[in-house]
Amino acid sequence: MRRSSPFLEWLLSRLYGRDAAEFVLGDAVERFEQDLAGGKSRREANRRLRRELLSAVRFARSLRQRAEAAPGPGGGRMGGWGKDVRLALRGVARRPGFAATVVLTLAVGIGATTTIFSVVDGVVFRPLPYDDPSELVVVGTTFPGREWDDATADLQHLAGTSVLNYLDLRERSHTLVELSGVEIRSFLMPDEGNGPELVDAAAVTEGFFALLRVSPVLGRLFLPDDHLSGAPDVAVLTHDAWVTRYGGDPGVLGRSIARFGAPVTAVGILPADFSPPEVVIGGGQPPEFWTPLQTGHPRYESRGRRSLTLLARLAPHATLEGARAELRSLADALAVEYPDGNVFPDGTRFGAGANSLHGQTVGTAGRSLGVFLGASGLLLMIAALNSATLLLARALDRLRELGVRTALGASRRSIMRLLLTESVVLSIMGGLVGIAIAYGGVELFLRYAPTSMPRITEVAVDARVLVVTVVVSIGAGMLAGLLPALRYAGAAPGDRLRRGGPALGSDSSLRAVLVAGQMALAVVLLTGAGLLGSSFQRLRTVDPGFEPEGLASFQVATKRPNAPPGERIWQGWDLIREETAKIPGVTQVAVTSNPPFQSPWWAPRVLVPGDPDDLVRDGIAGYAVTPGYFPTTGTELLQGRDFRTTDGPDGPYVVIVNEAFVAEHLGGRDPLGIMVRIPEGAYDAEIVGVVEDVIQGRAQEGGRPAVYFPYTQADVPFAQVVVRSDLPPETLFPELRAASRRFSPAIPPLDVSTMEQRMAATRTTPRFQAVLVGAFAAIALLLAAAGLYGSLTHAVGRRRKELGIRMAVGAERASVLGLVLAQGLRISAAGLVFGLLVALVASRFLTTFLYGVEPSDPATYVGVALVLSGVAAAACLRPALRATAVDPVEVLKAD
Amino acid sequence: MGTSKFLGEFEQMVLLAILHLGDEAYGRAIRRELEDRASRTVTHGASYITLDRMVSKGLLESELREPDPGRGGRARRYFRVTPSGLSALKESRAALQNLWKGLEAILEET
Repeated sequence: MRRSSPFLEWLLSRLYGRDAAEFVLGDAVERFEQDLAGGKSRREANRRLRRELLSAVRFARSLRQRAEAAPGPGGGRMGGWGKDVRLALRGVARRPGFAATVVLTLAVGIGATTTIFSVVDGVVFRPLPYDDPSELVVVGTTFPGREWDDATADLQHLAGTSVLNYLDLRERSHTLVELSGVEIRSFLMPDEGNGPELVDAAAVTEGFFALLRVSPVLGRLFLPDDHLSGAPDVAVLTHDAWVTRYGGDPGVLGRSIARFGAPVTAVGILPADFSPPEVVIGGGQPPEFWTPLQTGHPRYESRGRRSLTLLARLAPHATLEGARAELRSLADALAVEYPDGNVFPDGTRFGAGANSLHGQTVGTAGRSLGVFLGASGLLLMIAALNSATLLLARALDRLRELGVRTALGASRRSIMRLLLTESVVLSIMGGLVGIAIAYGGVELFLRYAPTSMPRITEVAVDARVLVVTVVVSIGAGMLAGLLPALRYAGAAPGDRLRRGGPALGSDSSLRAVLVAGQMALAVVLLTGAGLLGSSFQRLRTVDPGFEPEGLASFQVATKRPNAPPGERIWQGWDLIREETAKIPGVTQVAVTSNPPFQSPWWAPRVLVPGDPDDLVRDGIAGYAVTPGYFPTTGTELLQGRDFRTTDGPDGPYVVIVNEAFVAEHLGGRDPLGIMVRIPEGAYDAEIVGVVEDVIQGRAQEGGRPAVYFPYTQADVPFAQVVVRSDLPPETLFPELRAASRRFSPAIPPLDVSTMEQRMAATRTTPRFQAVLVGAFAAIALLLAAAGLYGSLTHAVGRRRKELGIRMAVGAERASVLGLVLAQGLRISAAGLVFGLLVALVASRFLTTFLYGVEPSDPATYVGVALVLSGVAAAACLRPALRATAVDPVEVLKAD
Repeated sequence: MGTSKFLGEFEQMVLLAILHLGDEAYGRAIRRELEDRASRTVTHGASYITLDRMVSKGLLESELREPDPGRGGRARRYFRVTPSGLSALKESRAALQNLWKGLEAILEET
């Protein structure tokens, strides 16, 4: 008979705990037995038993509420949380629309932050994929006067090191161990049907792979004997090259691989997860073939040939600072012992320095990512504030429920906990959606990020990132839930039960502050986006100093393998120019060592009259060009003459300089006829012309001093052929490639592009910054506008009665409209002013990314103010119109 | 919450019922006592809420006693009025008596 309601019995023992359930059940059973004994029907007795037990279940609930209201020492804390979470989930299910809004809002902020954090984590935070990566350093040559690359990032400006210096450093250094070097090379693979192919390769000194703790998956790496002069040529293949070129056939080991010059024998395969440090490959493709560098080869006899990138590990207990100090003194000693190649003709010595491999790899990308991280953080804050506004409105709508809870004995603390739990539950759901957004976001980021971004292959949403996301989600939920919690947990229960009343005024002002806060943050983002956008716009429209339309260029090796013996390098320039000029559609051809929008690689020393012999004038770019180069590119000759065919290899020596050179190095003197000294060639050259400034590497750098040499007087083995055409330059590409092959069949055509492509490539980073921050700003503006709209709509709803009365006593529609609009615009104006002030400070972080725009650019701030005011007015309009649609009669009747 | 000086009507009834029952004051018996003497029917749950609250106010104390074979072998929770419960009851009665004073004639007439 006691089994008449086993479920209720079970429920009771769950609710009370076994002991308490005992006596409650016991009492009920006793009554049941008395009922039976007293002549009641079994059915009736059962019915009464069930009713008894049901009322006992209610008793259990009130007991529990009491327990929560005054938690004993350590009593049932977890249980309380669990119950709050259940309650919160029930609340979510009850109001799916509200929950979805909060979840999506938070998801946008969390998704953006997670995306950017994934990138920052992959690029900056994660250790490099080598054993003990913190010990790894890059070592290189420093130039007097420009030792520091980026003083704030603690990076030295490092160039390559000569093989002989490397050997001496390795022997003498105590702070560095396992010093080894890499020289980037290319293999010229013979034509096997698809034309000859230039394949990236590298030569490494002894111990390079050991330094990185790499062992082969197949075959062997290099033995000491492989590094001796005259040893047979061997090579190790990357896993990729092995799979794509040889189908992963183990039989390739021991096989001879044909290449231009001498064949090499494959001896080993590198593991699939091996990737060389990016600083070694310098932005190029990772080498496919690795060969042993033979330090005794005659080509390494000069200490002026600084072709090695050096890597090492810090010795135990050594510091980077210690290594730098030691390298400085070792370089000094080498300059004394071996001045040739270690000392400028004027006596200045080359130095040596080191950076951590991590620092050198990340470079200045960290700063750009910092801007993105800041922008996503702002977006997250807006999302949290937006959610706080929503939660606040929601809390207002459930004052009655909260009041009942308090009346039943819930403490301020437990109400706060309930509200916080609810917002955290929502934000964790937002975090889950945000993670999904982040997966897509990282995909997008990787697709559009500039290829110059270091370590981009290491970017992924992984466990580390997810942990951070969870923390961020909970934090955002706390932030969003805190205000409503503080606001409503404190009020007296009576206030809550009465609902509405005097609390309303301060509620709407609290919400107004939250909305104004969102507006302010959106203004900061908008300002950043505006500055980056107008900077990018300026980069696009900057006068490059030439006419890019209709220009194309390609690279040739003028010192080519099949050149007739005795051919001078400049004679190759003539040949390729003649070959290219034959192409139909080409109206002008010229050859240069370095086209515009490619970083100048030649920095000759140039001395003007009156300079002491040891003076180093920094940052002068050198160009070798053929006559007709300036007319071809459309660069204006401002003074003097162009080069002529009569400016032959044996002089008289002449140069053309640009405006920046005249301004910076000649102090505005009339340049024509001035004789400048070129210590490199040990001759004096006459300035015969002045041209306008041409953008060198990137538009950001502006016009910098440049000296142009006749191609006959500066033997440069690589050249860029520049052609002008009336046709779209892309249409010439096949013919240009053909001309290149006719000139040098063994070398594939390289770097064929239009000038406009080249220019666009230098702008990918600024464009990416502007687009990304712009997208964040747009979302921010949308969220802030939605916040304003929602808050006004809510306020109008609450003021219906007041508005109705105003209209009943004769207020014009226009004045009611104005009333609501004014409320909205006051909020936006406060946000705008505050946001502009913050932006004025925050935009200074953008200084290094801006070109031609000051961080305090007035036009941008005015533009932001206009955009925000417009959007704010639009967001106010509908609630305002709704206010005028209030029917006074209906409102007054409703009471 | 502490001891409140004046007791609610129902609390007074419960205290009195428990005093009447003496050593036999457990849940079911208390309810029957209330039903018999005061014609108050109380649900199972409500009686426990009240008893529990009175325990936490210090008016009552309770103990579990060994199972009784008569009711399916389940234990009983017995209640006893504490000294502060008793004094609260006395104060309430005194207060009521003061209020009644001089009104007996009118009230008994009607």
